[in-house]
Amino acid sequence: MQQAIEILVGGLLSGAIYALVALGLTLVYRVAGILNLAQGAFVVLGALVFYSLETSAGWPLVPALVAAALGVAAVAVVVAVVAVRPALGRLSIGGILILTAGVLTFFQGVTLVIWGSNPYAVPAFSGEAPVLILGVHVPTQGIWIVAALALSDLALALVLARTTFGKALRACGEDPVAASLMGIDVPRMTVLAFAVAAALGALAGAIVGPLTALAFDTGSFFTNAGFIAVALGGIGSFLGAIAGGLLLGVSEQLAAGYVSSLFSPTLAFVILLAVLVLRPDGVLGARVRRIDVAQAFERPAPVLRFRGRGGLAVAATIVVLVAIAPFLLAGTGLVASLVIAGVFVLSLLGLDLLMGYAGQVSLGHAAFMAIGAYATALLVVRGGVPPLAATAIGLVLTLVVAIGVSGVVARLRGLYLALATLAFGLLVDSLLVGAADQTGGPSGLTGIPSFSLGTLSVDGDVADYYLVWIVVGVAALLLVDLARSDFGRALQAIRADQTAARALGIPVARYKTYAFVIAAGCASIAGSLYAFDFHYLAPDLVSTPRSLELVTMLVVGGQGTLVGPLMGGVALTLLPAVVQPLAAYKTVVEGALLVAVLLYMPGGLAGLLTWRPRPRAAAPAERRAT
Amino acid sequence: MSIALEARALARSFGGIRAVRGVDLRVDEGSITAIIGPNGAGKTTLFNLLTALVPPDAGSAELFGERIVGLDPAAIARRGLVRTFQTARVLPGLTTLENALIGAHRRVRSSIGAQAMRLGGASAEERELAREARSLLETVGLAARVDDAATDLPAGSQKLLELVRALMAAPRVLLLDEPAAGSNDAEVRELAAVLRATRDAGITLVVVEHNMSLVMDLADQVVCLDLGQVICAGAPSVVQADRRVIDAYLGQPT
Repeated sequence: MQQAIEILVGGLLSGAIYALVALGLTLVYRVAGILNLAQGAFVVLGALVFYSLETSAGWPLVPALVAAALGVAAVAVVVAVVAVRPALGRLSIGGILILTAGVLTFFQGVTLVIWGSNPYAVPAFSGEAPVLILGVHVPTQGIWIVAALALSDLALALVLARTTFGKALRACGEDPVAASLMGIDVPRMTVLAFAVAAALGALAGAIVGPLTALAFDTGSFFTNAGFIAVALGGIGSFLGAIAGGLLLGVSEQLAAGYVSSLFSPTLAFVILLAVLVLRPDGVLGARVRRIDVAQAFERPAPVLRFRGRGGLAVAATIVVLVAIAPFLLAGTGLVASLVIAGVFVLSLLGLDLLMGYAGQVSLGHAAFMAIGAYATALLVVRGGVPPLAATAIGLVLTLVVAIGVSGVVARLRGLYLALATLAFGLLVDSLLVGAADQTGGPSGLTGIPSFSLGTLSVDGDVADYYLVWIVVGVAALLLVDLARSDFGRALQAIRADQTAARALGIPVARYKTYAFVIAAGCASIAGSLYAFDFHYLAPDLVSTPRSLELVTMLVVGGQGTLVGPLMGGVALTLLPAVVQPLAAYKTVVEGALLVAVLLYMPGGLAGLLTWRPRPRAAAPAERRAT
Repeated sequence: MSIALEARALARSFGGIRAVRGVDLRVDEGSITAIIGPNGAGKTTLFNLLTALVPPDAGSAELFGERIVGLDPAAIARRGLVRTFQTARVLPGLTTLENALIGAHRRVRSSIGAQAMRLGGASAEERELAREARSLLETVGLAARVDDAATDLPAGSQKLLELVRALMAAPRVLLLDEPAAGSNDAEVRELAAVLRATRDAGITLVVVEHNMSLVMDLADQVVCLDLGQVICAGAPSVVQADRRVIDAYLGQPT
């Protein structure tokens, strides 16, 4: 009983932190309709700034807290002005979601550069000895946490209910167009909401610091937790955010206490997926501004087509370059990087069909690489199955999972679909870590042999290179043909206008499933090749950060062209390898690139190769009136 | 002559507004039916009900004797009931030619695998459809714009493109929502020729249209809606002379 109560208290305390993060997410969502995946970065930033001020610079507690919250709020204002405000009305909801993922990546990189990769332990505010309340040991930090949550709630509730600012804020949430017609500056309210949310997040980070280890990549953990809390409580509801946070904290602690701490995240994601699919409005059923149309703000995407022989010329150049690259680069060590690039390109080709053509944002693409990679590697290492057969079995397994997932997810649209794929990816991550007996857990799976066919073994970088790139070539040929035929047009019709697509007889849900499954298949084969090439697998290599990196590569390369995957995959893989000093800043650069390309180069690198046909002035001769 | 499209007591309310209240419609195969009526009479809603973009509250609809209420929009389109929209919905991101080609989706026989591998006549099918699309685009004067982004076309051309897209579906029944809106006299004459040719090719047409000279010129049957109800249906001359139609829609001849 004692133990149960202490688990419960622990759960409520971590839940209170999640609730704080979730409150910030909800605030931004209510004002701008954006789910800000960078919220977790503000949490970590707040914690580390606070740590530096208090522990390193020796500031007193309260001024350090206030300074951390204000400082992070200021950073958030810059982010909102530079990255988010220009995106409003220009990018789709899905595009903005990806953009905030870029901001998250950027800040994880910045934190890594400033504070390094070691986790920080922040000393407790009021000593380490727990106090005894009603016979239950409560860490003193817990009292700070509860007080912070209560104060923030109260302040937020007062501001929203009593002030003009609060009313304007709620008006933006109800109907941004009407709000702007009433003279409310919606972009400015968005910036303000970002600032307040970031301050809340920073506060949460500073206060939770003593109870957890904080490192540069903890940001995505907090984003995930806040996002699960929000989804549990119903996206957009303040009360739901608090309830969802507490619920998540308690269920996590219960799972950790009674089942296994390795599997407790798995439980959270299972709950999340179930809620997203069964009760998209959350367990409380609050219904606030249901945005389910990915193209809510979408501008018509530019037509990127090679004219006449242009496509042929580009294709021939690519084939020649790929064929002779190992000779040109012999001795530079870059051939090994190009093998990895090829693996990513293969995965990206599928992702492009799904995102670029069908317009479905997937934030969990690497999970399908993981299924293919781990299934293949385990079959080969533990079962002695020949590599080709193992790859095929991995592919079949991936396809089965993908069909299952898409059957559940295909009913969701826009934001919900992106979030469900994110949740699925996180679920696979946690399973890989949790099932340590099979997968080797966080430390990975070693001893994976090279790919071989009969007695022919594919050893060494050059052999790996040709194996991977031949597979890429075959996949590219098939997908280019698909994209240029009725199937590809149907997917583009779905992206452009689902209603019109339906009215033309296109079975939208079924075609989305096809695209989803084909994309998963490409990822699975890519994962298998990855395992054979690397001889080693770890969850990090194929987890959610990788999913976000794949999205970055695709956006930077250019979506909806099938050339973009090649350019983005190769460029972002080679960049840190070629420019060594850049390697330390890899994450910063990737995050910044993603944001910049989304905002200012919507066609990506591939957009530079093609051109948008100029709208010609309609010459009178062109429309011969008879 | 068989009945191509028949609706019985179709009804739909939006909140307190009864947009369509019990509409009966009978369209003979190979005929042109015009639906007229003042703004808000329920014409577009009727199209939306027939194509399942909006589910009806009550009533039934049959396409060549097959019940279509309850089917999803894509299934209805695949059975040959194809429509255009009041404001042309050309697909952004696709070229003019691709927009026309996507109309032929319901006719494509090659499997997805065959399309990927260019097997089993997939290439030949694609070439044949492209040839047909180009020839139709030429008929409506869009030959020079085939490779341009469809959204760059002027509004009138977008309506023509949407018509071509619908024709590429080889529909059995074609619902056109204000095809002449925004067109000048010459374009309307061109359109009338295209519609007549379409009917002569055996395609049944139902046209919502405000251009009365086009309606009177083309239609075999005119149906006038007002406040969600059919107030008069019959031959053009009959409807034109009907007291209720004049009061509700046409106004007194001057």
